Amino acid sequence: MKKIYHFLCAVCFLCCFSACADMLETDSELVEYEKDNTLNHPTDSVYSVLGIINKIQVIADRTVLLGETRGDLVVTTEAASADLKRLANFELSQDNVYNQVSDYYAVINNCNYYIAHVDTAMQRRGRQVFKEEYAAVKAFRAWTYLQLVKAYGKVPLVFTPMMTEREAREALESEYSDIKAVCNALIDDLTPYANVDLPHFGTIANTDPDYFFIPMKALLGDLCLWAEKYEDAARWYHDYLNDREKPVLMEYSNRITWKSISSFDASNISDAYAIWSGDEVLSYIPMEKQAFDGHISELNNVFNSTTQNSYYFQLTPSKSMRQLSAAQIYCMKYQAESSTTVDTIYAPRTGLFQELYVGDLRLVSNYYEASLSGQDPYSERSSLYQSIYKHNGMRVMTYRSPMVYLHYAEALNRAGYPQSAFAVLKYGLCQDNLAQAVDAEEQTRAGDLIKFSTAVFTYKNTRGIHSRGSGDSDCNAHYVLPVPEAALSSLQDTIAYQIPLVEDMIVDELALEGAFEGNRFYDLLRVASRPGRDAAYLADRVARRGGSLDVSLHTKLMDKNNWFLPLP
Amino acid sequence: MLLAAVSMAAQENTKVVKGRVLDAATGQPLAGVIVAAYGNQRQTTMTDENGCYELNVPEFTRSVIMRIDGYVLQQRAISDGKADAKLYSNAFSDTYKRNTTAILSSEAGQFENTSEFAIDPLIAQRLGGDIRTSSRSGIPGMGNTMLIEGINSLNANALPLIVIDDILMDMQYSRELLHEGYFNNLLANLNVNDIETVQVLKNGTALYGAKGANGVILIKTKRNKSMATKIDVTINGRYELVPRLPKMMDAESYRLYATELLSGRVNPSLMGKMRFLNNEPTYYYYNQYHNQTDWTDEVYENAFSQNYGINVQGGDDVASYNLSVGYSLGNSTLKNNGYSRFNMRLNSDITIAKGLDVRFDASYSDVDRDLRDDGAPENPLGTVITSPGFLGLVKSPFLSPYAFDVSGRPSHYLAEADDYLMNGDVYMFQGRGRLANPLSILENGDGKNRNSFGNRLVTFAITPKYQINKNLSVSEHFVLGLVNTNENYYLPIQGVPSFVVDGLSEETTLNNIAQSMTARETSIQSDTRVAWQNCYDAHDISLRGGVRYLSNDYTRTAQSGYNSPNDKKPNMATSLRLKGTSGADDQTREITWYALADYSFSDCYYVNAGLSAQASSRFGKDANGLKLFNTVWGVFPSVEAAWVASNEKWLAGIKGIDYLRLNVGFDVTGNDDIDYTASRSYFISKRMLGEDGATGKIIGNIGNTDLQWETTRRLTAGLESNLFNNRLNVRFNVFKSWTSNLLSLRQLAWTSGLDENWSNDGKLENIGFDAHLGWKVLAMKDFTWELGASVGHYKNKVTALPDNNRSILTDIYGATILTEVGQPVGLFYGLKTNGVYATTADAQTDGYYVLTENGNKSYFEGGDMRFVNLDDNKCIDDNDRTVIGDPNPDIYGNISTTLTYKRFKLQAVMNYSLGNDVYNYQRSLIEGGCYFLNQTTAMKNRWTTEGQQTDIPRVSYLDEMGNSRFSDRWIEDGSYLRLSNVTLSYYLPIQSTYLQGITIWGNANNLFTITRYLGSNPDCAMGSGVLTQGIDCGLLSSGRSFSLGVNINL
Repeated sequence: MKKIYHFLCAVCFLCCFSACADMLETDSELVEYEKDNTLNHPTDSVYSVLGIINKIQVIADRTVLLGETRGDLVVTTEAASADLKRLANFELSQDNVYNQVSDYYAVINNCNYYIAHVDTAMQRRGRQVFKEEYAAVKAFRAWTYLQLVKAYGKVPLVFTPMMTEREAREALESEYSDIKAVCNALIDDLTPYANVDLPHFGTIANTDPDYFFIPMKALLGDLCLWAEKYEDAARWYHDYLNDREKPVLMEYSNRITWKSISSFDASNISDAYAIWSGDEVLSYIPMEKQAFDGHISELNNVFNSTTQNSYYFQLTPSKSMRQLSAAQIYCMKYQAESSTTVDTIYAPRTGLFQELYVGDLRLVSNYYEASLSGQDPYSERSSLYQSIYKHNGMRVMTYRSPMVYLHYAEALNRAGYPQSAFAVLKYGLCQDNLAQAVDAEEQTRAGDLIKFSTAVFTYKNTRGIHSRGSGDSDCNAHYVLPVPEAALSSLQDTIAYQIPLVEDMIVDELALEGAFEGNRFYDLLRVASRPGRDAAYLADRVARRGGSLDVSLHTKLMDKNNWFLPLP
Repeated sequence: MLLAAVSMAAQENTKVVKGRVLDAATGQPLAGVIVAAYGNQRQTTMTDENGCYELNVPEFTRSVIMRIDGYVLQQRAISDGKADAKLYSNAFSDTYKRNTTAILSSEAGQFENTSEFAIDPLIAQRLGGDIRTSSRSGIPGMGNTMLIEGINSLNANALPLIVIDDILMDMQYSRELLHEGYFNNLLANLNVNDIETVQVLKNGTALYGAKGANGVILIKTKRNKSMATKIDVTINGRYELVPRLPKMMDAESYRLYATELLSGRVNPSLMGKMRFLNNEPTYYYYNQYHNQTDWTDEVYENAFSQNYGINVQGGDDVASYNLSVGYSLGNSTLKNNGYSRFNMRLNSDITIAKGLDVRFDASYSDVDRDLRDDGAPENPLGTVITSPGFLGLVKSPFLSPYAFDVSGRPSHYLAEADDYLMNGDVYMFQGRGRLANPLSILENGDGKNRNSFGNRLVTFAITPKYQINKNLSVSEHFVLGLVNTNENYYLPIQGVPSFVVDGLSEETTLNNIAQSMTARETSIQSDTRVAWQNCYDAHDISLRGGVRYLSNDYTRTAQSGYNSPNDKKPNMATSLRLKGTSGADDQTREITWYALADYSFSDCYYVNAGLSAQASSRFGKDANGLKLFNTVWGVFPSVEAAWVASNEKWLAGIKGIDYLRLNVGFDVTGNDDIDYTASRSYFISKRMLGEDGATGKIIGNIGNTDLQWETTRRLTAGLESNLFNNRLNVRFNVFKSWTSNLLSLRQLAWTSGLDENWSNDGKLENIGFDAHLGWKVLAMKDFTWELGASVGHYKNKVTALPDNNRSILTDIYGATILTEVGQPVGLFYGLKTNGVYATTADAQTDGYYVLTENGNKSYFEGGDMRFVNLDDNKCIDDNDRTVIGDPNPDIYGNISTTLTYKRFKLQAVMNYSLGNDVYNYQRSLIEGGCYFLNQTTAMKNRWTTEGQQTDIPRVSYLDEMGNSRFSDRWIEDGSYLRLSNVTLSYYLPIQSTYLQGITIWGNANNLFTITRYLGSNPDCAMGSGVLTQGIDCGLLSSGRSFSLGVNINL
């Protein structure tokens, strides 16, 4: 009996002193507690990088819609959602679905956590195991910050993970950084990793995941462009395009042209201009096929008639977009069968079977509209049908080569090389074109900045961006470098005269080439913020997108505060 | 030594009590009544043939207790050395207890002569004023939700802790199951015949620490009490009638309704092509679309159920036991929702050595069920409607359950799903909104591997107790509990339309669904306790202290998939499409230290004090509590005091007051129903990029390390009195409680990238009372009549909310539930209506409109609802919402009566609830006029022509004007008075070696309900959550039932 008594006493005693935190320890098979998330194994690291992409999917549509809807190239249709209409009219409330700032920080915080915790020192066979992923995650973070600050103007810039409520609140209460400050900080953060390769994850969902990653140098170019470090920006873009391993070409074939001069109708168009099928795509955000699998893109339903939206698309090309496209002069080199000489002729501006075929052909190539005949008036479906081929629902573009070229041109121009910048539009920069495009003086000043590998970049595979829709612009007598009527006293004055004019041409070209891709508002915002420009640069264009001036919108946009989404 | 000396001295200071005990019915003296000093069984005596007794009791003794078989126990105050009494027959309910403590509780026992599968309805009937109950569903054993002393939580569990034989149960209130409208009520694993008592603790809950805030229900199962072997056999059967169902339109009325929905939607040239609109009897498809089917006949039926049980008690002075075995077979009035249970329980008490006793209890129960989805779907066009009960109401009556052959004659093959809207090339109705043949879901879904549910509850408890000396003992209560659950779900192909699911591309049509789930919960409890008690004169002291360790592991895995090749292959297989898995892995570890003390003085003053300290794996490491042993402890004190005033000399002699006791108490308790992982930061996995994709890992939660239990402080006060010769028993209790640290979701700083996490923010209060009255109306020799009534009331109020008292709106089943400071929880928040516009001109005068999704204005017309425009901007939108209903009742309780005549006993119980509102969600679908669902006959009054005065608006497919949206149209008064039970029993004693007696009984349940509520059952609960109370989503309700049974005592 005594034994039992002693045993029971012992049990009590043990319970007394073992009642500590260890006894309360629990685990879970379903979630991974922070303490177990070690990030020192390749698979952990891959999962985390994919997790970041998962969070980027959430903001993918917004990167396009915030930039496009507020610009001047599209207008909302009657069928557009109330939130999209409000976005287009710069009436943004906290509960607008397109104004959810925490989604950006979800990406940033996952990146911050990865960057802070991944075992960067870990080596296998003399090689740093996580070097590529580490750089790629830094690029994701920088890209997201750029999207964020472009949208909101001033944001908290946090590089450390926020894993407690207090840390998150402290970040909220910290001083906010504007676009330049954010870009400068990110440039410093990324520069050491500019030459790190992309990670290679094999094949995921039958696609090459290399495209999921942000091209680091192109991103650095963007950051410098926004930070108004034009020389640096041009350098990063140039280095990216002229990369020895993976040069980015502007192929001649990849454009839309009239096939002959016999007739100018739809049957006579050579439409090789399909941005997704060529090798123009540099990177994109992979989206899910269906909501069942996760985050899907709604862009297809916003821009296009689909069965899901009963053909009711929400955005359609604006009048100013149509006018801009029609204002271009299509030029073609033509050699008649009987002739040995090549003529330069211009496509007719009247008598075409559709208005859209006047001028630049990129709009008509990317955009299809039709009235559906025989629609039942009781049908749920719209009788108007629209397709904008830039959105396929499965991928949201982040980088595309002609756009990088145009940003390169933008940087060159502001860096003081307007001829080189214009050359990118008209001729395409390569050794073969250089002499005709840029004078010796500018060639000397620009030095390597405009030199491209002669082995790779040849006359044959290099074309000006304008040629992609306006024919052979290298011969186009209407598409020329602005020259002052009377010679100016100094070279500096000439350059200063040319820069804003070339910039206007670049801005137009950005619209012609990059319409509907979500760049427009930010392009206007960036240019309008530069010295010598003012708010009217943006306000004039956006307020006239419908064809006539929307006075109240213009007034609103003259206040730069309205250019940004309100933070909660 | 000093105490011992006082004790010795006290023994010498005695006094004599004299008295006479009579039978209250006859006035005749009662001989052989055992009379003892109250609370002290050492001094006893018996009455003589004149009913007189004389008893020596210690000087401090203030009352005596009298007991004899066949009569209820009585306590009697001593006045001037005398204590006379009149004893009542045990046909009346007990009003006295053998022992008194300061703790306040209500108790019910003697659950016999019943065919109920679970104790829940009997708790409602017997403890109606103490517990507010609502029925979950009429499916056998689904039970009730129970609320004690108001509602003490918002987002965490608000239902009481259930303790069965000292085992703290995890009732799995929030566990996910596969079948819609089903709840796994673990109380249905417990055979009612095994239950001795159910006790509701209203205070003194310190022992239960952070689990006691919602009150505690203690269930005790039967143990052996005598050495004689007793065998009880119970057999009963029950016949339940189909419950009251809404009256639906007939075939022609529905045809007209469907035509109205189509008009304006479909090109008139196509209307002519629709087969169901061709009324020409010679038409080939005429028979197919001209039936008069009452689909409810196909899915509901009167149901027969049966219970069998045997209970054996016996033993000797070494070991005694109570063994029971039972088998129940229940059918539901909703076809194919049957229930069967096998249960076994052994409760034994063993004396191993002098001073060392061991209690060993083991129980096993196995519940098997057929199940089908039940209730109205949350979104009728969301996916296929799978509930046969709902389909039975809404399926078009002009269709037949059986297919027609090529010559147009009915066959015995089941008809396929609806297609009457698809012919005629009407594009818009393809894909969604077609209705399945409910008969096919019932028949083709039948089978163990299709729609079945199994639940096994096993408990082993061993409790060695060592009595070290007469005052001191030490015990250990060790429990191993297992709950295994498995469920299969199958929606057949045949008779079910191919359907689409939100989130999948519209091209992905699905044909059937297979799901399976298994869950296992293992719990280990250990309670080590030291107890000491002694008395010193009038001072009675008992102390208990110990430590309880609790470990719970719950794991669940579920799989689902679509499109198995045919109905012969209902199982989960790799070939299924869109396979999904889900699961849970929840672990809890808890340590609770406790100390409890009872003190009483002279049967007159009682004090109970308790203190417990609980640490739990669910608490955050930085929670605001006592920091000790490297962890955080929640500290929960309670103190109660009671004063039996009738034992005071100055009151003891007063006529008319036989007993008067006053109580007051203050408790601090907690609610530890915290999300298992909320206090910790963690990562979750996301499957990406489709079936050939990959997995991504993301931050899932930013842990709130401050997370802690909800704290409820409760003040209770009350009185209990027996008056007028014990004819009248009155109990009245009031309480006020303050709950703080409400578990709520708080918005996180947006820089975190997450929306919210759990925190302790918010407060609420409850104030209320309960009152009970028992009246022995007639006490005659052969005839007794007792009346009882109880009433409960609570009023709760939210006093603080997170994010600077921001109101919280919760959407569920179309309803918006408002949680706002200053208001009770669970309020219905919606639009008010003011009739229907008779003419478009009327509507234009108001000029009200709604904004469409695109922001365009759509104006109300004749036949639309006239909503009350509260913000005067003509736009009818969310800003016009206001409080339109409150699901909390003003009062609730029961009324009971018992009549006995010789060996006949007639009992009746009524339950009532007054002032509670119900959101009749099901009615919003069957009177909403916006889907191709059959409607109630009330819809014949719908607005159809300009100028028509009616209160039912026009019908319109998909209801663009929102006439059927959540509004006061669907809020109904849920007050009711129900005759819940009438039981007549007859006991036949038999003097035989083998047979002691037989009781034959019959009863009727739910005989009638007086209510203005239009649905089947005003007493309904959807789920167990606080915010879902008072929502009627059309789950099966209980019908009238009639039972007959026999109890044989061997």
